[in-house]
Amino acid sequence: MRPTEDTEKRIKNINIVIDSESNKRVFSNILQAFEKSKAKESTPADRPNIWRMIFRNPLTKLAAAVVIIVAVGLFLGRDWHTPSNPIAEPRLMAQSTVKKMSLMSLRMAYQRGGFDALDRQFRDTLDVIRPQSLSISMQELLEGVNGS
Amino acid sequence: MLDDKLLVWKFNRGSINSLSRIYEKYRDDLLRLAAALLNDIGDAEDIVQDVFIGFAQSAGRFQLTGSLKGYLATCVANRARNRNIAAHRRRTDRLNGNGPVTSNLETPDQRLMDSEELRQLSNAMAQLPYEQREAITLHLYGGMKFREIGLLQKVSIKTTQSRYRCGLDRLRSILNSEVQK
Repeated sequence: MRPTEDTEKRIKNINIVIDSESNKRVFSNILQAFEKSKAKESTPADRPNIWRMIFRNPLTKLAAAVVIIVAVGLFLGRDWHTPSNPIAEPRLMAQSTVKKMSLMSLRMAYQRGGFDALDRQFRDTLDVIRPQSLSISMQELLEGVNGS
Repeated sequence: MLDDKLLVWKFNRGSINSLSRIYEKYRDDLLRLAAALLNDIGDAEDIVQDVFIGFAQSAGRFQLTGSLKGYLATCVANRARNRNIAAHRRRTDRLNGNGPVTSNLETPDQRLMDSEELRQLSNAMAQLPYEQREAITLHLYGGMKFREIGLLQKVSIKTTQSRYRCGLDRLRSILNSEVQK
């Protein structure tokens, strides 16, 4: 046997004798610490963190990365410039102006020619206010009333 | 290794039997390691007890990445190093007349029977530089690889191997000379 191996063996095989009574006492101290840590483990403050659990496992880490990438992709892929529904407010405003102008023309027609003029103006207004028309000029509406 | 993994798994789930088996399995090697590093059997016992208490407190969240024996041996080596630094500081303070004079007598609670063999080895080890002592004891008692010891000592694997070989040669000559006396 080589001298190095001989020394290694000699060091490794050094005998130690342990007093069993005090050894039990030491182990009971270790057990106490173990029991305390078990009691502490059950408190909510020491419960495992969900994020730590996710990032500890490579598979859940990959799944989390995929979810984040898909979410970001959906967010960026959305067309922000062409909304699928037209904005309702301007049309309502246009309709409101048309109504206002129609009422004015009907009132003026009644003041000038009574019920017959009102009836005529009413028909003319219905002809002018077609569903596709949103921009109606005051001149068009008052055409019949003014007699032109 | 697999046996250790299983023991740790059960230990994390609160098995006292697993803790007891781990303690019985590694106690002797850790005591030898600490005694060789500290040259004081009372301190060695304290350190091994502290390491096992720390280990027991980590139940439920302990994660084994390498070997369990290597982990416990590293804990013992770190504590032994800190104790040596503290002892050195106390000695310096005493020499300067700053600190209290303390006795280095053995504690009455000592459970390790002081064998002649162990005393001889401890004395021989005490004559080696601390890094060589650490390399030898961690490799032989801690079952650690030179790469792991190098990481602990923050040196290359070559330096660790050289420390080990030099230390072993010197230890052999010290032990042989003591036998001849």
